[in-house]
Amino acid sequence: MNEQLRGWRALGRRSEQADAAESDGLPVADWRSVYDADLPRVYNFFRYRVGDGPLAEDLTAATFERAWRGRHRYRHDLAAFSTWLFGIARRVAAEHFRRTKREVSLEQIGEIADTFSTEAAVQQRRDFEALTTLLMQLPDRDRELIALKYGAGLTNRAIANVTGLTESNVGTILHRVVRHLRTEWEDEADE
Amino acid sequence: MKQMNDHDEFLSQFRKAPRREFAEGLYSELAEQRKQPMFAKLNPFVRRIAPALAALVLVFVATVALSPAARARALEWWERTIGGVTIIEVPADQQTPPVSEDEVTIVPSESVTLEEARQILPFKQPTWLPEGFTAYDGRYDAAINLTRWPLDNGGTMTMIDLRWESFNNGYPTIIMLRVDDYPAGGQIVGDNSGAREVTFNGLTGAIFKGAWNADTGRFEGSDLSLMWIDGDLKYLLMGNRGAGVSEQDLINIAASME
Repeated sequence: MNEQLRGWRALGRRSEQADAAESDGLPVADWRSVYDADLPRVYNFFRYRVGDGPLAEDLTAATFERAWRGRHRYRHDLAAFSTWLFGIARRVAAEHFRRTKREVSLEQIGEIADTFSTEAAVQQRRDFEALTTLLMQLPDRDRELIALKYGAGLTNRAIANVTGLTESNVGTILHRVVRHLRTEWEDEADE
Repeated sequence: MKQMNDHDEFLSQFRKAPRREFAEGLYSELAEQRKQPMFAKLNPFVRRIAPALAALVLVFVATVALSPAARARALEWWERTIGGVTIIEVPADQQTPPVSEDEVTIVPSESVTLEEARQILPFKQPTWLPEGFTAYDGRYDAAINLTRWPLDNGGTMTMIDLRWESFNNGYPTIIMLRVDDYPAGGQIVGDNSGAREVTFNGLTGAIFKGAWNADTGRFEGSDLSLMWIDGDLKYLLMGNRGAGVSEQDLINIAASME
């Protein structure tokens, strides 16, 4: 079993026993490794869903807080930890979009992007804005798959577990979407 | 200008690490939550009456189990018998109460002494409790509650609540015993309750976890419950696993009843 999962489980069990007790001795190092490994993945998932900026951080924080509160419900025998965590992230994203009724408008993409100081970073920022603009034009399912694949860095199999699609279906959809995005990206680069 | 490639690197090249301040701040926040005792998030007054609040949760769950509307709706739910008691499973994530508030009958309860309670319902009492637990002294509300619930058939269900508490961890941990004379009454649980049959002293019962949380709209939490029928009475023992009360504790208490 993945050491990180063991750590999470151990932490969950211990915490159940000591939910109300200020006891020490929790495997903090294990929780730390789980956190360190998955925070960037979840964070980038949201960046590819809503663009750069504080909103991606807020949704990432909401995901981890919800996962922490619901850690007792994680069933290692039913799903890998990342599957469970990204299930929560998807719900957080869905609730955000329901709440706002719309995704971030194309005009807002520049406003929510981080501020970079160096020239290279500025170019990187512009490129990501351009990519985000392209992503915003995709259907919701396609954009989510792109965020899981290229933001979170999940494998097609992991995405299939998270979304309920078949692995081959994930691969087929991603192949089509990436081809479409590459064409758009190249067109924009030629302009 | 953007760099081109033949594959899909143009999509993944924009990943970046979260800001250090954000990552460390969130981690600290989560670590702080882990340290907080169950009642520490409550203000001092609410913390003092927390045992009573826990009792209200139980009352609510019992109430919905008895409401005619709830019973009617329960036909759409999964009702089964576990360990001789009726367990009604509903989706844990339904976001709305199992029954709406207007379907709930509020019945006042009264304070009685142990002797009075046992005259009204000749129930058994535990002869064993986990170390540190003593009878609740009634300093905030009634130590022993008597409630009479109207039934659909015109009759009445009599229910008695007793509590024991411990301050082993520096905050009140309670174990509650509820006894009623309506064994046919069911118990609503979330489908994440893990309800299963247990056996003790020649009796069978159902043990399950979680309770309705109106704040989150879920059946959740680390409450543990053991329900069984002995003679004409139905017993429900409840403790909190997060506060150190285990399934085996509840079974041991039940097995010690005389």
